[in-house]
Amino acid sequence: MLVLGIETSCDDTAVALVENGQKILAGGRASQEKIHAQYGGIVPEVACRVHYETLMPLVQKVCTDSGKQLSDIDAVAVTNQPGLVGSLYVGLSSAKALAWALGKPLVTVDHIEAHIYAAHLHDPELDYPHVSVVVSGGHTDIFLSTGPTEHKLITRTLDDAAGECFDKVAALLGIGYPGGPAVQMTSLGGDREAIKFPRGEAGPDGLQLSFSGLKTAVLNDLRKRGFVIEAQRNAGRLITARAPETPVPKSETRTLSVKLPLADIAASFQEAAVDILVRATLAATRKVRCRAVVLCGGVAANKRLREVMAAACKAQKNTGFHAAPLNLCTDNAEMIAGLGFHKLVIGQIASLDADVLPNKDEKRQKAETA
Amino acid sequence: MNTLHLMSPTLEATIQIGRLLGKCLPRGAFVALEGVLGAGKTQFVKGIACGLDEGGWAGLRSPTFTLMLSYHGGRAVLHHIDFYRLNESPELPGEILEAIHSDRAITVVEWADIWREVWPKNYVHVRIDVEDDSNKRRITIEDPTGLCPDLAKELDDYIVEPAGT
Repeated sequence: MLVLGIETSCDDTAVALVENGQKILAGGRASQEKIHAQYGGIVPEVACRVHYETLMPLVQKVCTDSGKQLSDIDAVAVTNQPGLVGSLYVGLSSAKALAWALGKPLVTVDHIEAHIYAAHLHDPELDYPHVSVVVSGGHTDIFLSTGPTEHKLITRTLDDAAGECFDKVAALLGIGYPGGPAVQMTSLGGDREAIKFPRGEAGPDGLQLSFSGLKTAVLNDLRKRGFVIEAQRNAGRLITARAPETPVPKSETRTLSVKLPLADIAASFQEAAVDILVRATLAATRKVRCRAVVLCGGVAANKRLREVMAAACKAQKNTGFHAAPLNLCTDNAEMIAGLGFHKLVIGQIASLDADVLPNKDEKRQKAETA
Repeated sequence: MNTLHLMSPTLEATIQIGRLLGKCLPRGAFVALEGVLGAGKTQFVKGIACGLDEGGWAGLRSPTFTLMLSYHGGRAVLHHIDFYRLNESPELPGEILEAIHSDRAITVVEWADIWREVWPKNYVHVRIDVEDDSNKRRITIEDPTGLCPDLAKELDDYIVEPAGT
Protein backbone atom coordinates (compact mmCIF):
# COMPACT_ATOMS: atom_id res chain seq x y z
CA MET A 1 0.00 0.00 0.00
CA LEU A 2 1.25 3.40 -1.00
CA VAL A 3 0.94 6.20 1.57
CA LEU A 4 1.57 9.90 0.93
CA GLY A 5 2.99 11.59 4.02
CA ILE A 6 2.72 15.32 4.73
CA GLU A 7 4.57 17.13 7.52
CA THR A 8 4.21 20.87 8.24
CA SER A 9 4.19 21.05 12.03
CA CYS A 10 6.99 23.58 12.37
CA ASP A 11 9.25 25.26 9.83
CA ASP A 12 10.02 22.40 7.45
CA THR A 13 7.63 21.47 4.65
CA ALA A 14 8.07 17.77 3.89
CA VAL A 15 6.34 15.25 1.62
CA ALA A 16 7.14 11.57 1.05
CA LEU A 17 5.79 8.46 -0.63
CA VAL A 18 6.35 5.26 1.34
CA GLU A 19 5.22 1.75 0.46
CA ASN A 20 3.91 -0.57 3.20
CA GLY A 21 5.42 1.57 5.95
CA GLN A 22 8.90 0.50 4.95
CA LYS A 23 10.04 1.27 1.44
CA ILE A 24 10.78 4.93 0.74
CA LEU A 25 9.97 5.69 -2.90
CA ALA A 26 10.63 9.43 -2.75
CA GLY A 27 10.89 12.17 -0.19
CA GLY A 28 11.29 15.93 -0.35
CA ARG A 29 11.87 18.60 2.22
CA ALA A 30 11.98 22.37 1.97
CA SER A 31 13.56 24.01 4.97
CA GLN A 32 12.53 27.54 5.85
CA GLU A 33 15.66 28.11 7.90
CA LYS A 34 17.07 30.76 5.57
CA ILE A 35 13.80 32.65 5.39
CA HIS A 36 13.45 32.78 9.17
CA ALA A 37 17.11 33.64 9.64
CA GLN A 38 16.27 37.03 8.07
CA TYR A 39 13.94 37.64 11.00
CA GLY A 40 16.28 36.15 13.60
CA GLY A 41 13.72 33.59 14.68
CA ILE A 42 10.71 31.65 13.52
CA VAL A 43 7.78 33.80 12.53
CA PRO A 44 4.61 31.70 12.73
CA GLU A 45 2.63 33.70 10.15
CA VAL A 46 5.52 33.56 7.69
CA ALA A 47 5.89 29.81 8.30
CA CYS A 48 2.22 29.30 7.31
CA ARG A 49 2.56 31.25 4.10
CA VAL A 50 5.71 29.40 3.08
CA HIS A 51 4.09 26.01 3.80
CA TYR A 52 1.11 27.16 1.75
CA GLU A 53 3.29 28.06 -1.23
CA THR A 54 5.65 25.10 -1.00
CA LEU A 55 3.46 22.13 -0.19
CA MET A 56 1.62 21.28 -3.42
CA PRO A 57 4.63 21.77 -5.73
CA LEU A 58 6.52 19.44 -3.38
CA VAL A 59 3.73 16.83 -3.67
CA GLN A 60 4.05 17.07 -7.46
CA LYS A 61 7.82 16.76 -7.29
CA VAL A 62 7.70 13.69 -5.04
CA CYS A 63 5.23 12.05 -7.45
CA THR A 64 7.48 12.81 -10.42
CA ASP A 65 10.59 11.56 -8.59
CA SER A 66 8.94 8.27 -7.71
CA GLY A 67 7.28 7.80 -11.09
CA LYS A 68 3.88 7.55 -9.41
CA GLN A 69 0.60 9.31 -10.07
CA LEU A 70 -1.54 10.83 -7.34
CA SER A 71 -4.15 8.22 -8.31
CA ASP A 72 -1.73 5.42 -7.24
CA ILE A 73 -1.89 6.58 -3.63
CA ASP A 74 -3.85 4.42 -1.16
CA ALA A 75 -4.02 6.90 1.71
CA VAL A 76 -2.90 10.36 2.83
CA ALA A 77 -1.14 10.64 6.20
CA VAL A 78 -0.56 14.01 7.84
CA THR A 79 0.81 15.41 11.11
CA ASN A 80 -1.98 16.99 13.15
CA GLN A 81 -0.17 17.28 16.50
CA PRO A 82 1.79 18.83 18.16
CA GLY A 83 3.19 21.96 16.50
CA LEU A 84 2.45 25.54 15.51
CA VAL A 85 -1.29 25.98 14.98
CA GLY A 86 -1.19 27.72 11.62
CA SER A 87 1.48 25.46 10.20
CA LEU A 88 -0.45 22.33 11.20
CA TYR A 89 -3.59 23.71 9.54
CA VAL A 90 -1.87 24.15 6.18
CA GLY A 91 -0.80 20.48 6.16
CA LEU A 92 -4.09 19.12 7.48
CA SER A 93 -6.28 21.17 5.11
CA SER A 94 -4.22 20.15 2.10
CA ALA A 95 -4.26 16.50 3.17
CA LYS A 96 -8.03 16.61 3.63
CA ALA A 97 -8.51 18.14 0.18
CA LEU A 98 -6.26 15.51 -1.43
CA ALA A 99 -7.90 12.61 0.40
CA TRP A 100 -11.37 13.88 -0.46
CA ALA A 101 -10.55 14.55 -4.10
CA LEU A 102 -8.86 11.16 -4.54
CA GLY A 103 -11.53 9.32 -2.57
CA LYS A 104 -8.86 7.81 -0.30
CA PRO A 105 -8.67 7.53 3.49
CA LEU A 106 -7.08 10.27 5.62
CA VAL A 107 -4.83 9.30 8.52
CA THR A 108 -3.70 11.79 11.16
CA VAL A 109 -0.35 11.18 12.80
CA ASP A 110 1.29 12.32 16.04
CA HIS A 111 4.61 13.95 15.20
CA ILE A 112 6.34 12.51 18.28
CA GLU A 113 5.15 8.95 17.59
CA ALA A 114 6.37 9.40 14.04
CA HIS A 115 9.85 10.41 15.23
CA ILE A 116 10.02 7.11 17.13
CA TYR A 117 8.82 5.26 14.04
CA ALA A 118 11.75 6.70 12.04
CA ALA A 119 14.01 4.10 13.69
CA HIS A 120 11.69 1.30 12.51
CA LEU A 121 11.59 2.70 9.00
CA HIS A 122 15.33 2.27 8.90
CA ASP A 123 15.41 -1.13 10.57
CA PRO A 124 12.48 -3.51 9.86
CA GLU A 125 13.97 -6.07 12.29
CA LEU A 126 13.63 -3.66 15.22
CA ASP A 127 11.05 -5.11 17.59
CA TYR A 128 8.89 -3.82 20.45
CA PRO A 129 9.06 -3.16 23.32
CA HIS A 130 11.78 -0.57 23.55
CA VAL A 131 12.56 2.57 25.49
CA SER A 132 12.21 5.56 23.14
CA VAL A 133 14.24 8.69 23.73
CA VAL A 134 12.77 11.61 21.77
CA VAL A 135 15.13 14.59 21.84
CA SER A 136 14.46 17.69 19.77
CA GLY A 137 14.05 21.46 19.97
CA GLY A 138 10.64 21.13 21.56
CA HIS A 139 10.80 17.75 23.30
CA THR A 140 12.87 15.66 25.64
CA ASP A 141 10.62 12.73 26.45
CA ILE A 142 11.40 9.11 27.30
CA PHE A 143 8.68 6.53 26.62
CA LEU A 144 8.18 2.81 26.89
CA SER A 145 6.98 1.85 23.40
CA THR A 146 5.03 -1.36 22.95
CA GLY A 147 3.71 -0.69 19.44
CA PRO A 148 3.80 1.92 16.66
CA THR A 149 1.17 4.03 18.43
CA GLU A 150 1.54 2.74 21.98
CA HIS A 151 3.88 4.84 24.07
CA LYS A 152 3.79 5.31 27.82
CA LEU A 153 5.66 8.31 29.19
CA ILE A 154 8.41 7.35 31.65
CA THR A 155 10.01 10.75 32.17
CA ARG A 156 10.46 14.10 30.49
CA THR A 157 12.35 17.33 30.96
CA LEU A 158 11.28 19.49 33.88
CA ASP A 159 12.07 22.68 31.99
CA ASP A 160 13.94 23.19 28.69
CA ALA A 161 14.08 20.65 25.88
CA ALA A 162 17.59 19.41 25.08
CA GLY A 163 17.57 21.02 21.62
CA GLU A 164 16.41 24.30 23.10
CA CYS A 165 19.34 24.13 25.54
CA PHE A 166 21.77 23.63 22.61
CA ASP A 167 20.18 26.59 20.77
CA LYS A 168 20.39 28.89 23.77
CA VAL A 169 23.93 27.95 24.73
CA ALA A 170 24.96 28.46 21.09
CA ALA A 171 23.34 31.91 21.32
CA LEU A 172 25.28 32.67 24.53
CA LEU A 173 28.51 31.63 22.84
CA GLY A 174 27.60 33.53 19.67
CA ILE A 175 28.28 30.53 17.44
CA GLY A 176 25.09 30.52 15.41
CA TYR A 177 21.75 28.79 14.89
CA PRO A 178 20.59 26.01 14.97
CA GLY A 179 22.54 25.21 18.10
CA GLY A 180 22.96 21.45 17.71
CA PRO A 181 25.20 21.49 14.62
CA ALA A 182 26.88 24.74 15.80
CA VAL A 183 27.89 23.23 19.16
CA GLN A 184 29.01 19.98 17.55
CA MET A 185 31.18 21.84 15.04
CA THR A 186 32.65 24.21 17.64
CA SER A 187 33.40 21.36 20.05
CA LEU A 188 35.75 19.64 17.58
CA GLY A 189 39.19 19.41 19.14
CA GLY A 190 37.91 20.83 22.44
CA ASP A 191 38.59 19.25 25.82
CA ARG A 192 35.43 17.59 27.10
CA GLU A 193 36.80 17.65 30.65
CA ALA A 194 37.96 21.30 30.58
CA ILE A 195 34.98 22.61 32.54
CA LYS A 196 32.99 20.50 34.96
CA PHE A 197 29.47 21.63 34.17
CA PRO A 198 26.86 20.31 36.60
CA ARG A 199 24.75 17.33 35.51
CA GLY A 200 21.92 18.31 37.89
CA GLU A 201 20.04 16.09 40.29
CA ALA A 202 19.15 12.63 39.03
CA GLY A 203 16.34 12.26 41.56
CA PRO A 204 15.66 9.17 43.69
CA ASP A 205 14.95 6.92 40.70
CA GLY A 206 17.54 8.52 38.42
CA LEU A 207 14.83 9.68 36.01
CA GLN A 208 14.99 13.43 36.59
CA LEU A 209 15.78 15.40 33.43
CA SER A 210 16.55 19.11 33.55
CA PHE A 211 18.58 21.41 31.32
CA SER A 212 17.98 24.89 32.69
CA GLY A 213 20.66 24.47 35.38
CA LEU A 214 23.20 23.55 32.73
CA LYS A 215 22.27 26.63 30.69
CA THR A 216 22.75 28.81 33.78
CA ALA A 217 26.10 27.12 34.48
CA VAL A 218 27.35 28.13 31.02
CA LEU A 219 26.16 31.68 31.71
CA ASN A 220 28.04 31.68 35.04
CA ASP A 221 31.18 30.35 33.39
CA LEU A 222 31.11 33.18 30.85
CA ARG A 223 30.61 35.72 33.64
CA LYS A 224 33.57 34.28 35.54
CA ARG A 225 35.68 34.87 32.46
CA GLY A 226 34.68 38.50 32.60
CA PHE A 227 32.07 38.52 29.89
CA VAL A 228 29.01 40.66 30.21
CA ILE A 229 25.90 38.97 28.87
CA GLU A 230 23.38 41.38 27.51
CA ALA A 231 20.12 41.09 25.73
CA GLN A 232 20.03 42.78 22.37
CA ARG A 233 16.87 43.14 20.43
CA ASN A 234 17.83 44.02 16.92
CA ALA A 235 20.95 42.03 16.28
CA GLY A 236 19.47 39.06 14.49
CA ARG A 237 20.72 37.11 17.45
CA LEU A 238 19.11 37.96 20.71
CA ILE A 239 22.08 37.52 22.95
CA THR A 240 25.66 38.57 22.72
CA ALA A 241 28.47 38.02 25.14
CA ARG A 242 31.07 40.77 25.26
CA ALA A 243 34.12 41.43 27.31
CA PRO A 244 33.80 44.28 29.83
CA GLU A 245 34.79 47.54 28.19
CA THR A 246 36.98 48.95 30.96
CA PRO A 247 40.03 46.69 30.87
CA VAL A 248 40.16 46.57 27.08
CA PRO A 249 42.31 49.29 25.49
CA LYS A 250 40.39 51.10 22.78
CA SER A 251 43.04 50.43 20.17
CA GLU A 252 42.75 46.72 20.69
CA THR A 253 39.94 44.87 19.01
CA ARG A 254 39.03 41.68 20.71
CA THR A 255 36.58 39.29 19.25
CA LEU A 256 34.67 36.68 21.13
CA SER A 257 36.44 33.78 19.51
CA VAL A 258 39.87 35.05 20.50
CA LYS A 259 38.93 35.66 24.11
CA LEU A 260 36.98 32.51 24.84
CA PRO A 261 38.16 28.87 24.70
CA LEU A 262 35.05 28.18 22.64
CA ALA A 263 35.98 24.60 21.69
CA ASP A 264 36.52 23.62 25.34
CA ILE A 265 33.31 25.27 26.50
CA ALA A 266 31.27 23.72 23.67
CA ALA A 267 32.81 20.26 24.19
CA SER A 268 32.34 20.40 27.99
CA PHE A 269 28.77 21.61 27.62
CA GLN A 270 27.95 18.93 25.04
CA GLU A 271 29.41 16.26 27.31
CA ALA A 272 27.25 17.41 30.23
CA ALA A 273 24.08 17.49 28.10
CA VAL A 274 24.87 14.01 26.75
CA ASP A 275 25.52 12.67 30.27
CA ILE A 276 22.16 14.00 31.51
CA LEU A 277 20.33 12.26 28.64
CA VAL A 278 22.25 8.99 28.96
CA ARG A 279 21.79 8.84 32.73
CA ALA A 280 18.00 9.24 32.49
CA THR A 281 17.79 6.77 29.58
CA LEU A 282 19.64 4.04 31.48
CA ALA A 283 17.50 4.68 34.56
CA ALA A 284 14.39 4.37 32.38
CA THR A 285 15.49 1.00 30.95
CA ARG A 286 16.08 -0.27 34.49
CA LYS A 287 12.75 1.02 35.70
CA VAL A 288 10.69 -0.69 33.00
CA ARG A 289 13.11 -3.63 32.68
CA CYS A 290 13.55 -3.16 28.98
CA ARG A 291 16.73 -4.09 27.13
CA ALA A 292 16.41 -1.95 24.00
CA VAL A 293 16.79 1.79 23.41
CA VAL A 294 15.69 3.86 20.41
CA LEU A 295 17.13 7.36 20.01
CA CYS A 296 15.31 9.79 17.72
CA GLY A 297 14.43 13.45 17.07
CA GLY A 298 16.65 16.27 15.82
CA VAL A 299 19.17 16.11 18.69
CA ALA A 300 19.66 12.38 17.96
CA ALA A 301 21.75 13.57 15.02
CA ASN A 302 24.43 14.66 17.53
CA LYS A 303 27.43 12.43 16.97
CA ARG A 304 28.70 12.47 20.56
CA LEU A 305 25.24 11.60 21.93
CA ARG A 306 25.01 8.58 19.60
CA GLU A 307 28.52 7.46 20.57
CA VAL A 308 28.10 7.75 24.34
CA MET A 309 24.57 6.35 24.33
CA ALA A 310 25.66 3.33 22.28
CA ALA A 311 28.59 2.61 24.61
CA ALA A 312 26.50 3.11 27.77
CA CYS A 313 23.78 0.77 26.52
CA LYS A 314 26.34 -1.88 25.67
CA ALA A 315 27.92 -1.55 29.11
CA GLN A 316 24.55 -1.97 30.82
CA LYS A 317 23.75 -5.66 30.29
CA ASN A 318 24.34 -5.35 26.58
CA THR A 319 21.17 -3.31 26.06
CA GLY A 320 20.34 -2.97 22.37
CA PHE A 321 20.82 0.50 20.88
CA HIS A 322 19.10 1.79 17.75
CA ALA A 323 19.25 5.35 16.47
CA ALA A 324 17.11 6.79 13.72
CA PRO A 325 19.26 7.33 10.61
CA LEU A 326 20.72 10.84 10.41
CA ASN A 327 18.50 11.95 7.50
CA LEU A 328 15.37 10.86 9.39
CA CYS A 329 16.25 12.49 12.73
CA THR A 330 15.12 15.98 11.81
CA ASP A 331 11.54 16.61 10.72
CA ASN A 332 10.60 14.58 7.64
CA ALA A 333 7.54 13.11 5.95
CA GLU A 334 8.90 9.58 5.49
CA MET A 335 8.20 8.90 9.17
CA ILE A 336 4.67 10.32 8.79
CA ALA A 337 3.88 8.10 5.80
CA GLY A 338 5.48 5.11 7.56
CA LEU A 339 3.48 5.44 10.75
CA GLY A 340 0.40 6.39 8.69
CA PHE A 341 0.55 2.97 7.05
CA HIS A 342 0.37 1.21 10.42
CA LYS A 343 -2.57 3.31 11.55
CA LEU A 344 -4.31 2.59 8.24
CA VAL A 345 -3.79 -1.17 8.68
CA ILE A 346 -5.40 -1.15 12.13
CA GLY A 347 -8.25 0.99 10.82
CA GLN A 348 -7.42 4.27 12.61
CA ILE A 349 -8.80 6.46 9.87
CA ALA A 350 -9.55 10.13 10.48
CA SER A 351 -12.78 11.78 9.40
CA LEU A 352 -12.82 14.89 7.25
CA ASP A 353 -13.68 17.02 10.27
CA ALA A 354 -10.41 16.07 12.02
CA ASP A 355 -8.80 19.01 13.81
CA VAL A 356 -5.26 19.96 14.79
CA LEU A 357 -4.07 19.50 18.39
CA PRO A 358 -1.21 22.00 18.56
CA ASN A 359 -0.71 21.73 22.29
CA LYS A 360 -1.25 18.08 23.03
CA ASP A 361 1.00 18.28 26.07
CA GLU A 362 -1.41 20.65 27.69
CA LYS A 363 -4.16 18.04 27.53
CA ARG A 364 -1.82 15.35 28.70
CA GLN A 365 -0.73 17.54 31.57
CA LYS A 366 -4.32 18.22 32.51
CA ALA A 367 -5.00 14.49 32.51
CA GLU A 368 -1.94 13.86 34.65
CA THR A 369 -2.85 16.44 37.25
CA ALA A 370 -6.53 15.45 37.29
CA MET B 1 5.30 54.01 40.65
CA ASN B 2 5.48 51.02 42.98
CA THR B 3 8.83 49.30 42.67
CA LEU B 4 10.13 46.50 44.88
CA HIS B 5 13.82 45.67 45.03
CA LEU B 6 14.41 42.09 46.13
CA MET B 7 17.38 39.80 46.64
CA SER B 8 17.05 36.06 46.15
CA PRO B 9 19.96 34.03 47.56
CA THR B 10 18.99 30.71 45.94
CA LEU B 11 16.99 29.19 43.10
CA GLU B 12 14.46 27.97 45.67
CA ALA B 13 14.00 31.55 46.93
CA THR B 14 13.51 32.76 43.33
CA ILE B 15 10.72 30.20 42.90
CA GLN B 16 9.26 31.24 46.27
CA ILE B 17 9.21 34.92 45.23
CA GLY B 18 7.38 33.84 42.07
CA ARG B 19 4.91 31.91 44.20
CA LEU B 20 4.18 34.91 46.43
CA LEU B 21 3.67 37.10 43.36
CA GLY B 22 1.37 34.42 41.90
CA LYS B 23 -0.75 34.51 45.05
CA CYS B 24 -1.24 38.29 44.70
CA LEU B 25 -2.03 38.42 40.96
CA PRO B 26 -5.63 39.24 40.07
CA ARG B 27 -7.40 37.62 37.11
CA GLY B 28 -6.52 39.29 33.83
CA ALA B 29 -3.06 40.28 35.08
CA PHE B 30 -0.19 40.58 32.63
CA VAL B 31 3.34 39.89 33.85
CA ALA B 32 6.34 40.90 31.72
CA LEU B 33 9.59 39.10 32.48
CA GLU B 34 13.02 40.39 31.61
CA GLY B 35 16.42 38.79 32.16
CA VAL B 36 19.27 37.18 30.23
CA LEU B 37 19.36 33.53 29.15
CA GLY B 38 19.80 31.36 32.23
CA ALA B 39 18.66 34.07 34.66
CA GLY B 40 15.82 31.84 35.84
CA LYS B 41 12.74 33.25 34.12
CA THR B 42 11.09 29.86 33.55
CA GLN B 43 11.88 28.89 37.17
CA PHE B 44 10.20 32.12 38.31
CA VAL B 45 7.11 31.22 36.27
CA LYS B 46 7.06 27.82 37.99
CA GLY B 47 6.73 29.81 41.20
CA ILE B 48 3.86 31.89 39.79
CA ALA B 49 2.09 28.69 38.68
CA CYS B 50 2.53 27.35 42.18
CA GLY B 51 0.98 30.52 43.60
CA LEU B 52 -2.10 29.91 41.44
CA ASP B 53 -2.27 26.21 42.11
CA GLU B 54 -0.15 24.55 44.83
CA GLY B 55 1.87 21.80 43.22
CA GLY B 56 0.71 22.97 39.81
CA TRP B 57 4.19 23.74 38.55
CA ALA B 58 5.26 20.12 38.17
CA GLY B 59 4.32 20.00 34.50
CA LEU B 60 5.46 23.52 33.64
CA ARG B 61 8.14 23.53 30.97
CA SER B 62 9.77 26.10 28.75
CA PRO B 63 7.39 27.52 26.12
CA THR B 64 10.23 28.67 23.85
CA PHE B 65 9.51 26.12 21.13
CA THR B 66 5.72 26.20 21.08
CA LEU B 67 5.59 29.96 21.88
CA MET B 68 2.73 29.44 24.36
CA LEU B 69 1.72 26.80 26.91
CA SER B 70 -1.46 27.09 28.96
CA TYR B 71 -2.31 25.56 32.33
CA HIS B 72 -5.84 25.09 33.58
CA GLY B 73 -5.50 23.62 37.04
CA GLY B 74 -5.36 26.75 39.20
CA ARG B 75 -7.65 29.54 40.34
CA ALA B 76 -7.14 31.22 36.94
CA VAL B 77 -5.90 29.91 33.60
CA LEU B 78 -2.18 30.59 33.23
CA HIS B 79 -0.84 31.42 29.77
CA HIS B 80 2.95 31.07 29.70
CA ILE B 81 4.35 32.77 26.61
CA ASP B 82 7.88 33.28 25.30
CA PHE B 83 8.75 36.02 22.79
CA TYR B 84 12.32 34.70 22.43
CA ARG B 85 11.68 33.23 18.98
CA LEU B 86 9.49 36.13 17.90
CA ASN B 87 12.41 38.51 17.74
CA GLU B 88 11.74 40.92 14.85
CA SER B 89 8.62 39.07 13.83
CA PRO B 90 6.47 41.57 11.91
CA GLU B 91 3.35 40.44 13.74
CA LEU B 92 2.22 38.25 16.62
CA PRO B 93 -0.02 35.18 16.20
CA GLY B 94 -3.66 35.91 16.99
CA GLU B 95 -3.93 33.40 19.81
CA ILE B 96 -1.05 35.08 21.61
CA LEU B 97 -2.62 38.55 21.32
CA GLU B 98 -5.86 37.08 22.59
CA ALA B 99 -4.10 35.59 25.62
CA ILE B 100 -2.34 38.87 26.38
CA HIS B 101 -5.58 40.81 26.41
CA SER B 102 -7.66 38.23 28.24
CA ASP B 103 -9.41 39.72 31.25
CA ARG B 104 -9.89 36.34 32.95
CA ALA B 105 -6.59 34.53 32.53
CA ILE B 106 -3.19 35.40 33.96
CA THR B 107 -0.56 35.85 31.26
CA VAL B 108 3.17 35.70 31.88
CA VAL B 109 5.55 36.57 29.05
CA GLU B 110 9.27 35.82 28.94
CA TRP B 111 11.39 38.21 26.85
CA ALA B 112 8.39 40.54 26.98
CA ASP B 113 10.49 43.59 26.09
CA ILE B 114 10.78 42.36 22.50
CA TRP B 115 7.15 43.37 21.94
CA ARG B 116 6.57 46.18 24.40
CA GLU B 117 3.96 47.72 22.11
CA VAL B 118 1.44 44.93 22.75
CA TRP B 119 1.49 45.18 26.56
CA PRO B 120 -1.85 46.06 28.15
CA LYS B 121 -2.14 49.24 30.23
CA ASN B 122 -2.01 47.31 33.49
CA TYR B 123 1.05 45.19 33.84
CA VAL B 124 3.59 43.93 36.35
CA HIS B 125 7.20 44.04 35.18
CA VAL B 126 9.74 41.65 36.68
CA ARG B 127 13.43 41.99 35.98
CA ILE B 128 15.86 39.26 37.05
CA ASP B 129 19.52 40.25 37.21
CA VAL B 130 22.31 37.76 37.77
CA GLU B 131 24.50 38.65 40.77
CA ASP B 132 28.06 37.40 41.01
CA ASP B 133 27.24 34.35 43.12
CA SER B 134 26.00 31.55 40.93
CA ASN B 135 22.36 31.39 42.01
CA LYS B 136 21.98 34.80 43.64
CA ARG B 137 19.53 37.04 41.77
CA ARG B 138 18.47 40.65 42.13
CA ILE B 139 14.77 40.79 41.31
CA THR B 140 13.01 44.08 40.60
CA ILE B 141 9.22 44.08 40.47
CA GLU B 142 7.39 47.12 39.13
CA ASP B 143 3.65 47.42 39.60
CA PRO B 144 2.92 50.89 38.20
CA THR B 145 -0.87 50.70 38.40
CA GLY B 146 -1.12 48.88 41.72
CA LEU B 147 -2.44 45.52 40.45
CA CYS B 148 -1.10 43.75 43.54
CA PRO B 149 -1.61 45.96 46.61
CA ASP B 150 -0.42 43.27 49.07
CA LEU B 151 2.77 42.45 47.23
CA ALA B 152 5.19 44.45 49.41
CA LYS B 153 3.80 42.82 52.55
CA GLU B 154 4.10 39.30 51.09
CA LEU B 155 7.63 39.84 49.85
CA ASP B 156 8.88 41.71 52.92
CA ASP B 157 11.54 39.06 53.75
CA TYR B 158 13.33 39.61 50.46
CA ILE B 159 13.25 43.43 50.18
CA VAL B 160 16.64 45.16 49.92
CA GLU B 161 17.96 48.59 48.99
CA PRO B 162 17.86 49.42 45.27
CA ALA B 163 21.02 48.52 43.33
CA GLY B 164 23.71 51.18 43.46
CA THR B 165 22.61 52.76 46.73
